[in-house]
Order: sequence, then C-alpha cells, then structure tokens
Amino acid sequence: MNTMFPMLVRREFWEHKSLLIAPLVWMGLIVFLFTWAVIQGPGGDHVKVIVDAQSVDQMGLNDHDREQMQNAIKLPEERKQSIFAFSFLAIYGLISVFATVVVFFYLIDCLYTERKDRSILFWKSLPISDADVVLSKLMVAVVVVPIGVILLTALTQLLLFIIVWLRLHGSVIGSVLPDWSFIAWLRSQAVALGVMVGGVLWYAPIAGYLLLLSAWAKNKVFLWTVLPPIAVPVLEKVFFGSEHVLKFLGQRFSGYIELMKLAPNAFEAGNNHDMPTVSDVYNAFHLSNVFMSTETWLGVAAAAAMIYATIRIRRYRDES
Amino acid sequence: MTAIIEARGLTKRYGDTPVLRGINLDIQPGRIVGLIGPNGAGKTTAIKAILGLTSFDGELKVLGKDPRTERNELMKEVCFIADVAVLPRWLKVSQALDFVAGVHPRFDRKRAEEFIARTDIRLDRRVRQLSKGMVTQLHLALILAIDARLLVLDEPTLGLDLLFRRSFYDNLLNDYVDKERTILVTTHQVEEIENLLTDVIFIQHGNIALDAPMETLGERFVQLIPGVGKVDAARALKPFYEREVFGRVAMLYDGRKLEELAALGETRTPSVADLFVAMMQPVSAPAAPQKEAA
Repeated sequence: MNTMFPMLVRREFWEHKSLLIAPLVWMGLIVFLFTWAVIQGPGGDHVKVIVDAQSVDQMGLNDHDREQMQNAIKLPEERKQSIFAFSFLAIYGLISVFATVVVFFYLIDCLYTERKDRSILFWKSLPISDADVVLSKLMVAVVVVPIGVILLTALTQLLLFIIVWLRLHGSVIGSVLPDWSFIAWLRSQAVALGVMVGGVLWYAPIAGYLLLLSAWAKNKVFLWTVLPPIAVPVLEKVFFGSEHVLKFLGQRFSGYIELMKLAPNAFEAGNNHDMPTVSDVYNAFHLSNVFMSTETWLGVAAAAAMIYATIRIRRYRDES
Repeated sequence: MTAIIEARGLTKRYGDTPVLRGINLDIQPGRIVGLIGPNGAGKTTAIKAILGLTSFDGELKVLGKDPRTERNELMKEVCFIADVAVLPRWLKVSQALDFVAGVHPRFDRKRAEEFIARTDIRLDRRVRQLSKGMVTQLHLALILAIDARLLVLDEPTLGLDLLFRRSFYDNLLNDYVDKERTILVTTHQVEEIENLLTDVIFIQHGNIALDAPMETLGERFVQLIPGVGKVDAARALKPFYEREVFGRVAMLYDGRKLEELAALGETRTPSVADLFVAMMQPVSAPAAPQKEAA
C-alpha cells in the first residue's frame, strides 16, 4: 500500500461510473417501489385507532384475520423486532446481489478495456507498478464496493423505516410493527458486515479468475469467463461420464450458504406463535464456520495465485 | 559521463523471426536522437525494450537500470508518448492533471496547466471530445511537466496535420531541450525533425545501419551530381547509392574526400532523408554502406 493508492482507486470510479451510479439507481428503485406499495397497501387510512381488541374489530376483518392481528399486537417486542431483522437482511440481500452483478462486469472489463483502447501504454508511461494497478482494481471489487453496499443498505433501511412510520404510525397495522430499535439496526449492520467479509473471502477465487481473464483474453472476455464453467463439465460428462468438475463448481457456489448453516427455523414466521426473536434471526448465521473452514482459505490462496498471475501477465505481456 | 542508454547485443525474436539482431547503443545525456527505420525494422521493439515493455536478450541499461527488473524506478525518470491515441477517451482533462499529479513525484502541475492554458483545451472536456491534435497537445503538456531525464517519443505526431506537427516539435524544443535531458524519437517524417536532432540512428532488419552525430554527417557523406562526361569517373569512386533526378545522376559517397569529388561536379551534404532513402533502399547500390555496428 502506498500514497498513490487512493488515486488509483479514484481513477477506477472515473472510468467505471456504473460502480457508483448503478447501485444508487437500484436503491432509488427499491425505495420507490416500496413507497408505492406502502401507499397502495392497507392501513393507510391514518385513522388514529386505540390499539386494543375492539379497534381491530372495527376494521371489518374476518375472524381469522382478527385473530392473527390480535396475536401480533400481543407479541412481545423482542419477537416483533425480528421483523426488523428480516427486512434489514432482505434489503442487504437485494443491494448486495445487484452490486455483485455490477462488480462482475467491472472485473472482466477493468484490465481488458485498457488493452483494447491501448491506454495501457499511457498508464505504463507513469511510475505505477503493475502490482499496484491490479491490487487497486481488486480493492475496488472486494473492499470499496462492499463497504459502499453496507453504507447504502444502512441508509436504505433508515429511509424505508421512515416511510413506513410516516404512513402507519398510530394505525392498527402500525401497532403490529415494532418500534424503531437502534440496537437491532446496528446488529443488522454487524451481521451484514460479517456476511460480506465471509462472502468476499469465499468468493475471492471468482474475483481472481475474472481479473485473470480480463488481463489475458485477447477478445470476447465475457465469453471466456462463462464458457469454461459450462463447457468443462459438459465435456467431462460426455467423455468421462463423471461430474467431478460440476460438483466442485456447485460446491464453490453454494458452499458459502452451507457453511453458514443457516438455522431454518429462525426464518420461519408463518405462525405468530413461532415468530422468532430478533436474536434467533441474527444468530442464524454461523459465520465462524466460514472463517474456520480450510476450504475458505484454500480458495483465498487460489485467488492470491490468480492475482499474482494477473500481475505477471500485465507486466510482461507484449501487445504488438 | 555515463550513458543514458547503453545496449550490448540487444536481441529480440518473435518466435522464429528476429526483430533485433544484437544491436549496440550508446546514447549520452543531453542528446536528441532520431531512431529512424522503415516499418518492421525494429524501432518500436527497441523502444519497448528500453521502456521495459517487452522481454529481450543481451545487455541493456537505461539510466543505469535494467528495464526488465527495475521498471518502476526507471519510469520515475523516463517519460514516453507511444502514440497519439493512448490517452483513454473517458478521461477528463482535469482528471488527467489530478491523476498524474497524484502518482508522479516529479510532475509540476502548474507547468502543465500553463501549457494547457495556451491551447484551446478546456479542463472540463473529456479526451473523446478533443480533436486529435488537442489530444497530442494534452499528452505533451502532461509529459513536458514531468522532470524526466529521458523522453521517448514513438511516432508522436502520427496522423496529425502539418500545423500540429510543427507546433508539437516547436513546443518540444522550447520547453524541453533547454535542460540536460535526453530525447529518443522515432518517426517516419525524417525531414521534419532533421534540424532538431543531434544524433541519428538508422535501423534496418534489426541491425543498426548508421549511428552518427549530425555534425559528422557532412564530413562523412557527400552527394555528387557529376558534370557531363564525368559519370564513369564518378562511378569509379564507388558511390554506395545512385539515382536519376531530372535526367541527371546523383551519387552518394561514404568517406570520400570532398576535394576529390568536387572536381567531378556539384557536391553538397545530403539530407538525413536522402541518406535514409539511400541506405534503406539501395536500388542500384554497387557497394553496401559501411556498417558501424553489426
């Protein structure tokens, strides 16, 4: 790490403005659709209703609905808070999945375009090492954007809560909802951060693979990235009748979720009585498994090897 | 004084094709050297080797450093303009200044801004919005504001019109050459940089065909247009090149005494362009040019 590193990272956002704009647009879309749904949805009459069993009767619901709502109102705050946990994690999921797609295209493009437009000769006329360049691009993908996602998620959560509160406070539905809990909000940030760090480590080999192809492919870099994971398992099946590569790839994609051993009952909230507590939800992620797994660190080692190869290719490749 | 560029047996092959066949170079500080050769002669490969952009065999020291292993250190003191098109099109002029200022310890931002202020380039423009000539001006502004010891220009004015080419070299002379800095330049337009150069190197088929200071060219090479009836006598003195111009024959000599030739007709010092043509395409050359380095 050196003093020019921040400038190299800034440079990436100059060139790849979508890294900044796309997640913001996505967040805007989420907030807009959510707001629209809240306004269209029930409970928006803003009638101040005293929260008790009688007021539920006044809503003209059927017996089943009434019972559900009464039960919900009676739920202890500790269990109501899990609504926060769900919604916060859902927002994190929506934003991080989208950001992953943006980062995918960033990674396959970042070392390819500079060769295509020959601007690499300009960058190489400056005293910046190839390691600094490649690592700055990796940093953008695995540190800067993920931190941005966490911040954007926190902001979105706040916005959505404010919208819900403005619309529903004092109404019957509002009384089903938990009060704003700063602690729950903070905990959701901590869990999101943990899931992010684990995910970055687990999926680091994919980032390394994409950077490597971006530095290597002469053309059609997108095809090069998606073709081998499809073609190799097919060829293996055809010629050897086995599925080792497919199983390996599947494990590399789904292994992260398996390692976390998501406790499924923490996410089952179909019945009010089974409504999990907020702690149940947050504790459902067994992140320590991810950090203790040899497989995680083997993947990190593989990523490091591919990053090293990427630096070598950028350093010694002779584009004539 | 130690040489800025020192090469011994610099060799490069692409597969089976030799591109540089063991060339030797000694470029001293403060020289302005034109590296001139036809397409495919090895100019760009030589420059790539000097800049650490390609692998090679043989010995090569640039500013006393090995471009293969000490490239990052080297690039603090070496600048290059590879081609007019290499500034990325998405880059804003102000971003270009920010970036180079952020990564180059020897960049004088104020100087670059002063240079840009003399042009029509606006700071909020992107490279894609600039004309080809303006892109070159911008690139030159960035490069000239770097206090480098060696400036390498590989076809810097390719594709520019005459006015921009002229102002490019004028700016280069005014802003750069007054210092103890060395310039290595390749170009096709020999005649345009002839007056700028202190040294000229011809490269052909991966060999150095000529490596000489400009001031020695007049001592070594003479062009003769023999008088009527003296063509055979002139030929007997073994010119290495001859061609017909408007019905008269022009002959080029290497290492003949001026007095000896003056007796046979009109003599003058050939231009670098004349020499280049003569040495690169020895159409009717009875004798091969004397080679300085094999």
